[in-house]
Amino acid sequence: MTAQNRYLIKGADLAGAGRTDLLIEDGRIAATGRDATGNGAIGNGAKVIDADGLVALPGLVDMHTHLREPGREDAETVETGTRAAALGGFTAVHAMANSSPVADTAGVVEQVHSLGRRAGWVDVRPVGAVTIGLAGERLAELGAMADSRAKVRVFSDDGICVSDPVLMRRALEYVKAFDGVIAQHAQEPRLTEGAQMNEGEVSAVLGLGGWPAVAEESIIARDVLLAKHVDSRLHVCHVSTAGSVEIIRWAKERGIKVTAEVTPHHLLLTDELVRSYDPVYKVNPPLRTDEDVRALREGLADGTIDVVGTDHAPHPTEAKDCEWAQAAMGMTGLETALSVVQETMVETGMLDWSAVARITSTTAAVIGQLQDQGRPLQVGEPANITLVDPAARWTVEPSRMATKGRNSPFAGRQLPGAVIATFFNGHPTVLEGKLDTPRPGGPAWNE
Amino acid sequence: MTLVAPPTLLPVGAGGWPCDISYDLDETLQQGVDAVMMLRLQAERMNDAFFPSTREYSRKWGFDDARLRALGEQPGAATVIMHPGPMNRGLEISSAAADSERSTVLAQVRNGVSVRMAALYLLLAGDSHQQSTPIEQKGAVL
Repeated sequence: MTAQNRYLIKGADLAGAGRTDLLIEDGRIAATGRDATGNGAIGNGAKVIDADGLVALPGLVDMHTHLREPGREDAETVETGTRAAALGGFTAVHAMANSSPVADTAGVVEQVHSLGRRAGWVDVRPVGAVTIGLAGERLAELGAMADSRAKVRVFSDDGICVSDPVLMRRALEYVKAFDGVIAQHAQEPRLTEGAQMNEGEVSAVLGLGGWPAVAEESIIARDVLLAKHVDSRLHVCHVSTAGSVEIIRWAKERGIKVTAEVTPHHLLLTDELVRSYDPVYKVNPPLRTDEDVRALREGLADGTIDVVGTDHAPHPTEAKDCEWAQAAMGMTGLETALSVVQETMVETGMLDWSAVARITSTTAAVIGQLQDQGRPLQVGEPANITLVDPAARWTVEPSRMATKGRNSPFAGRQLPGAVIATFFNGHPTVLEGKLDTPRPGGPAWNE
Repeated sequence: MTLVAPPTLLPVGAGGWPCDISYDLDETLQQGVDAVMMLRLQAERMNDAFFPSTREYSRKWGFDDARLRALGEQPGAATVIMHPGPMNRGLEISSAAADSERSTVLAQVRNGVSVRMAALYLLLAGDSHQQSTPIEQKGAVL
């Protein structure tokens, strides 16, 4: 037993379940409470982390991350994206399939998976494409990706909607063989040709092409009915409208196996920001209205929306430093997600910290079937732990972030809450709010 | 100010604008207007189901000879006819209307050049721009 893999977290608030100590040993929680501090743990050289005033959450799990590698290493790499994830308190991320080449074969998902292993900052779970090349024409080899070393369980053409109803039906049916889930980017393509922003009062004034709420809602309505018909699991990515929340609530009341995610930016920002014409606010689905923001928060609070997914979408400066219509869609989010959740859900009294654990970690791990993630902080469980200081206040500075992307819509904004430490399978990737070291492990082919 | 157009060409969200909205050009003209300005129907609008055909558009929303005649029969109507150009003659405006004594199209186009020159001059030679703080504050739900 060496000192390197023994850590004693002292006095952390276990997500509302009271203050306790946590002893981490060999990647697992070895003891809690009096057992942790007794038993000669400190004498044995465990590194002590003072967690007085900090909340301990199960390590955050992101349902929706764009790591850009392979193909767009100018925007992000697995290394830089997972450093950002660790700093944001994450211990696992689902890497979306719209890389270049597209993650539509066992080879590409295994590559992304092993890049994640080599980086060692978080568990990188590749998402497989539903259709070959995201073209929406033929199913990708979903079974091969599921059977690969990456063990893919979440499939998505994210960025593009699987709009063909027959293809969507077949995908939903096919992944039942390995209990997979189809994560749909709900966007009716014909209704959103040339779309630049939410269609409504602001788009009418600005004269920018509208992205109507109905383009999202009609696809979600169709897909929950398809999921019901074939009794399959559907996950709805980045829900952005009040109407979508209503449809998902309706579906859940009928026992349809649907889960839904909301992004931090859709919980806080509205399309009023587009009046600035600053493309940092250009995102897909677009920022909506006050009414939508309130409905999303209520949906997240009452369980209609299951998880927060960042849709972290880094872009090089030249893709954002241009006129609105030419700019790329997307925002960074990994390093601000938890703070935005605290601001919009905790500070408003809508959720307590145990519910934050549910929406940022536990449920996402269940949807993605990550056995070692989102577990309760109990003896014997894998030590994936995030320590948060809820009293901290900080001003967002994109230039100081670990992600390569500088496109944070929260730049200059003061946010509450700071990630102080992240333990990834018992190894501290973040200590004192700064990157520590990656977890040694190496690429998957060594194991 | 009244906007007259098929509903497909009026932006969603225009209902809150400080103006009236009508789908009936004749009814609006009968109420007596100081000026009526046609806007050019862009080619891309003609092929994306905004309206069934250019002929139907012309009949319902084009300022044609019949509407020019009706204007002449209104007692004391001093209505001027405007269009920013370039015009689709025979589509949103008839030649008789475009070339009538009521038309101010040529003056409007000439003035448009001056206005554009002034706008470009102000933008290119202007001082540093304003900060967008009010929008930032308005764009978040707190």
